[in-house]
Amino acid sequence: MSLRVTNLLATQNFIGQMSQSRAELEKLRDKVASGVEVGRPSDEPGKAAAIAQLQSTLTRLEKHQERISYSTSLLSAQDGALESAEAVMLRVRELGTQLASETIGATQRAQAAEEIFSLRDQLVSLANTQYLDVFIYGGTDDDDAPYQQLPQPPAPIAAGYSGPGYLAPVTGSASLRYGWDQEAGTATTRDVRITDSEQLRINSSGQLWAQPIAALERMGRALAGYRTEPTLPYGAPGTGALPDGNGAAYAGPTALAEQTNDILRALDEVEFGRKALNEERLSVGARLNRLSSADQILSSLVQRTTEARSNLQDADPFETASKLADLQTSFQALLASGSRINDLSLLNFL
Amino acid sequence: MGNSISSLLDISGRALAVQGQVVRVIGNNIANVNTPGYSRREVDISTIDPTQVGELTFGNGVQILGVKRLSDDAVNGQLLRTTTERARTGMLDEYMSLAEIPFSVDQDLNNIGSQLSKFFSSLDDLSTNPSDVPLRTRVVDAGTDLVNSIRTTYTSLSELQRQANDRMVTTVTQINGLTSQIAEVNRQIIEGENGAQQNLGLRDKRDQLLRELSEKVSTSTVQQSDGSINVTLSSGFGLVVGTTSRALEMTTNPSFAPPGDYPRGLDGNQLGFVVYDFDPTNTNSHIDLTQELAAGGGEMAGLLQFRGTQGITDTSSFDAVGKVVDIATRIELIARDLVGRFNRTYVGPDENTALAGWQSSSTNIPDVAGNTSSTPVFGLFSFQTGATGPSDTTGTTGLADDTDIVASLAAMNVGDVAGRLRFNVTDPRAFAAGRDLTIGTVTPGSITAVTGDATNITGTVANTALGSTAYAGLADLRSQVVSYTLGGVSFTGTIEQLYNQTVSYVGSEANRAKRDLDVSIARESQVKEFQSSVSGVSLDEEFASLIQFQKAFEASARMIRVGSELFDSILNIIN
Repeated sequence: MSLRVTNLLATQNFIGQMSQSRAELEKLRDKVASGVEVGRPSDEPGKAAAIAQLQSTLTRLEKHQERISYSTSLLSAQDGALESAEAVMLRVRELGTQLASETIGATQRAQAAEEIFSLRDQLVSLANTQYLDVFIYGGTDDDDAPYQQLPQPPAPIAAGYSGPGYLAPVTGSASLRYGWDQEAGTATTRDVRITDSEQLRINSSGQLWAQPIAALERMGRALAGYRTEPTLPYGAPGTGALPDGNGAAYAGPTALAEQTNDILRALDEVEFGRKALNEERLSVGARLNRLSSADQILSSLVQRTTEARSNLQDADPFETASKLADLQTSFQALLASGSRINDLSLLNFL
Repeated sequence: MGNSISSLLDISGRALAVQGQVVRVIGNNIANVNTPGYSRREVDISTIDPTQVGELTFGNGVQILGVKRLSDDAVNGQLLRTTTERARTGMLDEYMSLAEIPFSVDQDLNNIGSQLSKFFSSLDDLSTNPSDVPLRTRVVDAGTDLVNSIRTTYTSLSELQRQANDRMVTTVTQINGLTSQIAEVNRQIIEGENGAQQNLGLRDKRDQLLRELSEKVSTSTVQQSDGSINVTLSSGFGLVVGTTSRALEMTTNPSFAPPGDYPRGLDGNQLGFVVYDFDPTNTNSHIDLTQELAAGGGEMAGLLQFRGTQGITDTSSFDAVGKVVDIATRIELIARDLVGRFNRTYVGPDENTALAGWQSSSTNIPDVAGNTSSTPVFGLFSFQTGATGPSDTTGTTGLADDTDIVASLAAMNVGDVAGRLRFNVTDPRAFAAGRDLTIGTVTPGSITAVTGDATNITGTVANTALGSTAYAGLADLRSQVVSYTLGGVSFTGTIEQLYNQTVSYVGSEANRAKRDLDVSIARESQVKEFQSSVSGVSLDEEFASLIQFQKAFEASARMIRVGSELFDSILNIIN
């Protein structure tokens, strides 16, 4: 016995097929409009988890790129400061070498001292370089200048800075001593994550500049006619104690040899400081190269991750449009056939 | 001769009546062509026993034996089963479709996954300049957004669970209404039929009520000799026995469980049991039908399978067995991870306490459990303010571990962290990331004073008293593999992988619900076609029958006319 097809069933089937086709059309229309193939997890559960993972990865990679961009700017600023510092140190070495000659008298040396102090101020200014309103050599205490001119006693010393200015002379450039802010955090270096597995130091402790600044001060003071304490063993560059604010004037012309010795010692210290700054500059350059390399890798990863996510999530516009056209045709055929078949009845012939 | 003509008139008259009745039944069929549950009628006609005259046998025409419903009990039973399954899968699909909305993978949506990613990235960004207030603000914003995202997702799930629970109340009422009507129809059938011709209308009505009942709950039916049917659950519990129906109840206070005990919803409030009270005068007379209904079919099973069922000995909302609970448990695990592991890693800016995890030792600020007490503020994340409860039950200086969290929840008489999670730092300057930042104002829930903490965020360490190893920092927690366990959920991976696995789980379950619905719709449709083939009305068939019986009616009328003319002829001869 063949299956009887009743009117109610035929109508219900027609309505069911019509609403199902309409729902499919709407879904496809959404895909065409949004361009997204997988919106809800249930559309493609496996793909949805992969998409979520890729989105997370993409956000992470893009953030790495942002940090690389910031780090590159920051390190470039440091590179610029160190380049300028190199020029300053070379000029000081040149002047010191000339003035160390005992054919140069105390008066001439005193006159040349002003240029050294000017170069010292320039070095201090470089140590206090700001980038985006923060002191790049300030560690985590970067809203205070790492180097400040220390007051002459009995003025109170600023928080974090130790010691007063030089006791002698009491006025003039030779009396000015610059101190390093030793508050908590000022020596902190910061490691920034530039890839999932790699962190990179993006700053240096401000302490880096202490020795070169002190070397220039010693040089200037020696030329101006003043000792700087401790005198010895500060001659061993970089290993001795930094100046502590003491130091008296040389005792007249008889001390010319001592003055010359101090100039030569200061020259050693200047050279030592120059090398330290140079080494830091080399390090900065290496890190800039590392950033550039990481950025290239990340750009490639971002591109591939975006493609992978797009392949999983985005609807193929041509395929979707083609499906839409097919479904539209089927829907029209369903409506036409449904209305015709449902219209057929024996009643029409009675 | 006259007797023959008289017989002819008798036969024709009866035939006329029979054809008329058949046409009437056809008319009734046509009238009910669109009536749901209507089974087409067919008139059972047969030849009247012939009369023997001598050696000759003469027919006596046609008679109606009865009017029957065209119905197949086996097909009807199959239809009830497929309807039950379609209703269950339909309900599950409806709720799973709603449950998956917060987990959409549209990249513009701020779901938990993208917020986790933003939070970790903001922490990484902060390492470029820990004392930068805009960068700290980004961390605070990202932390707040993450917390909001978790709360919103969890709350939407708990609301869905509550909706399903409330809908069960309505469904129980509908079941009771239907079983009551079936019992009444049983009564009418027993009284009306009384062994005579079946009351077809009542039987159609009862079949339709059974179909409606099968939408709500899975049942079995047993036909009784008096025409009534008994309706039972799979265990044999009778919903309808003869003319009596048993009304179910939804109660949060069943006689077999201590007052106020489980099951509890994700929102911390009680969920209902479906019970039958076999003796309302007795205080210990509830029969628990919840598990049985959940294992069956119909909308009730779909609702219970989504909402979840629990034993009375369970101690947590997350012990329940149900789809929404499985999803919410994963969100809860993420929230507890933030309150636990993240807090233990975070070194607050309070140098007086000098312990990992403390945000401030100042009082009158909510602690990890959200309690305003003399307990200092703990960590980055806490619960929302609730009743008094300890934040640190194991005496490990406030570093909440799983035991602490469970104890705090119990003390607060709530079940979840996710729905009441909060981010403690509202002032970016109070985020312990770099140098000291002085804050002048005291704001509850924020921070009172910050003094010289020079700890770089990438240098924070865990509290070793708990046996944890040193962490490189909060940002490093992103890649740390952790074993998560709560209720029936276990997962080992990173916190982001846990979320991605949740998306996969939700997608799979929602997709399965859709596929199950499609399959059950197709099965129901096939059985419906078969059932309709047996019981449905075809207008074409009815019109064909109408013509057939109309012609027979006309022929019978013609025969009467012939008989009449024959009589007239005889009378004319006599006259």
